[in-house]
Amino acid sequence: MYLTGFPQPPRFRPRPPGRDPRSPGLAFVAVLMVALAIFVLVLPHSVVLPVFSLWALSAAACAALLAIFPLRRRTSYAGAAWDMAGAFTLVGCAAAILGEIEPIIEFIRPSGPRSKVND
Amino acid sequence: MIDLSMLPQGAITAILQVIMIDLVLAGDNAVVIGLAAAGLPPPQRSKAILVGIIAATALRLAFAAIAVELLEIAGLLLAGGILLLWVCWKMWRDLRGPGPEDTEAALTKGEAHVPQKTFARAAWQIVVADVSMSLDNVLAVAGAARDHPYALIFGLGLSIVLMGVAATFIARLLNRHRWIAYVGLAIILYVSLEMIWRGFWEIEPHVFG
Repeated sequence: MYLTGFPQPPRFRPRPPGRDPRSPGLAFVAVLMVALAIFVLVLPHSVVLPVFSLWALSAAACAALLAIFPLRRRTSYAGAAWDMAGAFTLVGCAAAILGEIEPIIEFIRPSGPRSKVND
Repeated sequence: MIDLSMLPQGAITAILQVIMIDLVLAGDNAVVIGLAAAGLPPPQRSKAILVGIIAATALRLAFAAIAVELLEIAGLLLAGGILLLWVCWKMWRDLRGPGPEDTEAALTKGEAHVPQKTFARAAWQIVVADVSMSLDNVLAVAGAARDHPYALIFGLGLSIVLMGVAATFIARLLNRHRWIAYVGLAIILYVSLEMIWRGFWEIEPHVFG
C-alpha cells in the first residue's frame, strides 16, 4: 500500500499503440516524401531541390529547438529530436549539393531578362 | 526597424543571392566536417569542428582575395576533385576500421596495434577537404557579390554559422548511427566526382585541342 503524495515506484506500462521504436524513422521518411511531392507539384522543377534543401534545414532547426526546449518536461525525446535534426541537416545538405544554384539566383533577380540555362 | 527601401535594389538582390548561394554551398563543407569529426570523443569533436570552420573561413578569405587569378589556372578544379577523392578514400578506410567502442575494448584487452581515429587525422582530413571545396565555393560567391563587398562579408559570416551548426548536428547523428556515415561519404564522393568531371572538360581543350 502506498501513501498518496509520496513518490511511487515505477510500474510496468504496456507500450501504447503507434509507439513502435521504428515510428520516428518512418515518420521522418513520410514527412520527407510528402514535402518533396508537394514541392514537385507546386514549384518549377529547376528550384525544387534548392527549396527542398531550405525546407529541410529549417526543419532541422525546429527539431534542434525541440531538443533544447522540450514541450513537456517529463518526456525525454531529446535524443530522437537530435537525431531528427541531424537527419534533416544531412538531407538538406544532400539536396543542396544535388541542386543547381543558377535557377534560384535567376528566381531572386528582380528585373532584366532571365537566362534559359535550366529551362 | 530597418527600412529596406533605403538600400539600393541591387544590394538587396546581391544579399539574397549570397544567402542562397551560401546556404547551398556550405552544405558539402558541413558534411565533410561532420563526417570527419564523428568518430572522435565529444570534447575533441567540438575542437575538430572548430578547426574545420577556421580552416574553411581562412581558405575562403584567401581564395576570395585571388579569385580572378584562380579563374585563369586551368586544371585547378580537376586537382581539387582528385584531392577530395583521396579524402573519401581515407574516410572509407576509417569507416571500415573498428569503431570507438571496439577500439576501447581491444585496448583494454591489451591488443596494441589497433588503429584509432585521432584528432590530428580528423583535422587533416577536414583541412584537405576544405581546400578543394572552398575553392569551388568562393568563385560562385565572388561572382554574385562582385560589386557589393558587404554582401560577401555577410555571406561569409552566414556560411561560418551554418557550417558550425550543421556539422555539429551531422556529427552527433553519425556518432549515434554509424551506418549513416556511408550516406555522407556517398555525398562527398559525388561532389569529388562532379568536380573531376567539370575539371576534365575545363582542361580538355588545352590537352586535346
